[in-house]
Amino acid sequence: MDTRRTRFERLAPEVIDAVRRYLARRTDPATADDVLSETLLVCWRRLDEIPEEHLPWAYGVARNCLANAERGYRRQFRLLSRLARLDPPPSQTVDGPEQTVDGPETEDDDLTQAMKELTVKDAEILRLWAWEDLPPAQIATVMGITANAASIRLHRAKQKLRDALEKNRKNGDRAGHEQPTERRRS
Amino acid sequence: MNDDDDLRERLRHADPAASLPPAAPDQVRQLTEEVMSRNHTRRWALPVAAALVLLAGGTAWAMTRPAPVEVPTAIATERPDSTGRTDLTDKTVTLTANGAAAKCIEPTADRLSEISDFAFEGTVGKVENDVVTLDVTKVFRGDPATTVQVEQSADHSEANEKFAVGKSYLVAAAEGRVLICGYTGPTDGFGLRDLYEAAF
Repeated sequence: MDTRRTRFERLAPEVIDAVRRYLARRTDPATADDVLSETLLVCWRRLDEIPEEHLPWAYGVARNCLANAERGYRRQFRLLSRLARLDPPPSQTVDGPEQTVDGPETEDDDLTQAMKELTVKDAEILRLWAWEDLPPAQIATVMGITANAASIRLHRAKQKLRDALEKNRKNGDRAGHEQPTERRRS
Repeated sequence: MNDDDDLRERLRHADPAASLPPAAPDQVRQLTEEVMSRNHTRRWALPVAAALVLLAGGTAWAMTRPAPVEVPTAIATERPDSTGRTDLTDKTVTLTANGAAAKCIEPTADRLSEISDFAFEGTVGKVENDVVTLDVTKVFRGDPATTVQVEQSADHSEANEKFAVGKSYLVAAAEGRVLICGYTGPTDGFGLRDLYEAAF
């Protein structure tokens, strides 16, 4: 038991730091706190299953816990949403995990828009690549797919993002919307 | 993959966690300790029925030993598996699963007042398709309402105590979530009315 505790204590700070960031990028602060605890709890319970490369594994757990939490919020929202005249909870609780709330506002509107046009999985793969800085093999661990599939999906997702950015830029030019093109970063 | 550096750079620019300060070492330590002390318990999204099980037995919540961790809304033990059992008659909290004790902190009026944004007393008018309709008799906090519907999760059908038609309940909620762990239960539950009177 002591060695278990020791191992977890050694592992926890790094996992906490990484998962906190992962969650801050994907959900509101309150949900992030809840899901962080839940993720750690799973790590503690399944300590023996944690592989050497523990971060991608922990991200995978966090991803599942977040999906569960979002599902739970939607269910709870339904639960009391029929309350007569009760103030609805903040809208982010019923939105998907894709929305990042209360994080610093990203100013790159073109990018935000383009990311929205991707599938949930493609967008997540790109985030794992750019934000969590993971190589395809580790993205695979998080997503529960093979390394080969992750590699291919990442490649395609990048291309789709480029296409979406390009398409939106052209539309912006054509429609004479100055804002999107002006904010485009080279 | 150098060709993609520009794309990656652009995404990184938009990283919402870029300015997130690192967690304080104290927080990290506390969180780690909390997790290790919460072995075999888990947080449920909204086990309304299980919540009532926690209250069942009347004095159950009052007898609850304060848990090492304070939990904002709800913690219940894992669903009883084939070997676990949910003992509703015992006076001590014995909502057991895999031998672990329920870890609800003892409810307090202060906490109830602090966390709830809606609290009412109501009588169950009907239960249909797992939706419980309560006729509100008193609103302690929140906007007035005459009826409240609560979806009773079918996930917890193994729980014996559910909202019963004709029975009066005190229900507290925060942001649309029913608060369990001693904050919601039958009006005649031991001490619950006192708790509400003190809180609101």
